[in-house]
Amino acid sequence: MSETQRQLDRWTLMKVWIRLFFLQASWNYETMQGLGVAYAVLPGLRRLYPPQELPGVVADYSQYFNTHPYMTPSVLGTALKLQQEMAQGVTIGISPRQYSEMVMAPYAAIGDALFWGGLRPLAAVLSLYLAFLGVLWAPLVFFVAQAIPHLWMIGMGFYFGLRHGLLSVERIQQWKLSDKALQCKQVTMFALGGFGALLAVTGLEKANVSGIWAPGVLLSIAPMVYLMRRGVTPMLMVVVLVGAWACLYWSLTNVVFKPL
Amino acid sequence: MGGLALLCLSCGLDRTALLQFMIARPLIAASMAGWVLGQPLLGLQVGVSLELLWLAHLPVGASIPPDDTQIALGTITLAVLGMRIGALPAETALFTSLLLGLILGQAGRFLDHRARQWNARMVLRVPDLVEQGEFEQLERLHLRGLLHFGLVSFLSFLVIVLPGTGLLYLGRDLIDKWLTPLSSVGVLLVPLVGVAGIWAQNRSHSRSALFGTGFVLIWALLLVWK
Amino acid sequence: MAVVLTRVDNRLIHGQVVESWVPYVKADAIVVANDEAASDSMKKALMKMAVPTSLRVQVLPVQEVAAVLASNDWTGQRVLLLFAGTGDALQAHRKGVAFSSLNLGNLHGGSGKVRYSCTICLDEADIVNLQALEEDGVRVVAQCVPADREQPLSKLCRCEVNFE
Repeated sequence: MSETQRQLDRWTLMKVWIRLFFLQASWNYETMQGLGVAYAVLPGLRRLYPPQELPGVVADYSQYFNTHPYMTPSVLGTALKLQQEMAQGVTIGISPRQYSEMVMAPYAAIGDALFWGGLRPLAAVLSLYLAFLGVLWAPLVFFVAQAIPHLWMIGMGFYFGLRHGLLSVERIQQWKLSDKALQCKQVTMFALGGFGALLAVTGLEKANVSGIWAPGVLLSIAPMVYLMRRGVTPMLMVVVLVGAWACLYWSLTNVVFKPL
Repeated sequence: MGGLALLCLSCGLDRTALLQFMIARPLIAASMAGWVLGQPLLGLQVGVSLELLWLAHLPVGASIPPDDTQIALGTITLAVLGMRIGALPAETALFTSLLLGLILGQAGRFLDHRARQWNARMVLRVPDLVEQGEFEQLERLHLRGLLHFGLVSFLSFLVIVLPGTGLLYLGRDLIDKWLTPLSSVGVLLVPLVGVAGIWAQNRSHSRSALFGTGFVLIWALLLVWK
Repeated sequence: MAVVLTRVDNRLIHGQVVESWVPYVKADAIVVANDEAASDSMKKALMKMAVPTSLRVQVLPVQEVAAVLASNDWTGQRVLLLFAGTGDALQAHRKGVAFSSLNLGNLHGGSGKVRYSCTICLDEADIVNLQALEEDGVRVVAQCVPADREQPLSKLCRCEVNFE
């Protein structure tokens, strides 16, 4: 394979992009996304290197790799661009492996903050309003609200990585994703408060108590928050709360109403 | 039945191994299962109850959260079975299933951990395969991970549904007697814990203030509207 | 200036640190003590972009941390201190950076390293360093995220994990 023939074409890149959907099939505690990364880039590497050179290159890609799954396409896009240049004999400042190792953790921080910490809870809480009111297509809203940024990140990230190589990092820097994550969280907390009120008022009315007492329910959330911060798991908290409610109900109906 | 199995598998895989389009989230998974089982509204209710509980939990690296996907699927299945086989009223079935799902669903954590350990063992072969240039085998090895995760999803689901159905059927009279009066408020307690859980994760005073503001706003709105 | 959390983590700034630990200890600044990162402008830029702008990030060589943290510029800050390895932590402590407990987060495997938990692999040198820190009065605990249970070093070293 001459050096000029070592070029990644659109079809191969499409294959890589689609394989990225299977990235975490072999997720494990040792190499984490490692094998998945190798699986995803293999079509590209096969295109760039003759069989006898492949083992050395693939070995680089099958080691420990761990970043946010939506950010991986961006990392690998840049890595493949660097790899292509390397295969063509162009001198590059940093190897694909070195680059990957450098960006993995910060990108994980960005992805975790933006997607898991910001967008997903926001989409969830907003869809929950609809779902609570019985709107059957609420889950669809949830799905679409998440799918759009997801697809955008994995699509655009991959594209920018391939197109701009190392400069894609600057692009992502400009998007100020960590700050946007924080803004999402603020909106989520506001919406969550409202949802709490909805739950409280509905619950009180079901118990034949006026909705005016809703702030009282808020007070009951406070000890739960305290306990959960001390490490009580959600499941345990539910069991405890249900137990408390059962005791309250049965003692009230037996003690208060039975004599009447 | 087949539809349910398909959901169990696809949602279970979406959770970690594949795609991650979030169909694994309780709100979506339970709602879809509700459709399949002919109880869309009930599915939605299961989804609403469970969605918040582990929302703030990051699927980050090493810590293992409970398998909320299978809990969601298991709960709606139990709820429907409770209604059909146990002749329980809808809300009672929902409430009881939520509790059963949450408790029995804890098994899912260990099963998920197992799948990852199986993957770790599998991955030990990678350096040799790479050196020998056996890339087709490498690709197949990677995809075998799907089997591990898929199997584990199935098992987690069964651990919830099989004993759960047994308990629902055998205990149906007791459940009807003791839990029915509690159910209408009881089903709301689960999402309430979810709300508390998210608030617990947040440590910023300004965001707590936002929470309070949102609460007061909607509360006022609801009172005015009624 | 208060060091609210000192952590050894190969990955330095990543998801768990920003999303779980920073809010938990209410840190408003992260100091990364790592010679390699301090001499690489791209690494520094990456770390800065990984956190919100309201969180102050400084990447320093291990030697300089003590002096910098003691300066007036840092009064009133709640600092989350990150090291990439046990050796750096010991060095910094001996140079005067005061911390009473050390959190072990992610320490990856490698040649000569033995796995003690899902996320922690230590070699002989690591154990020597950690024991030296304990002798200096630092409480060493393994805890990946705040929700996990704390595991003190003595308990951790008793359980070796094998995946074979």
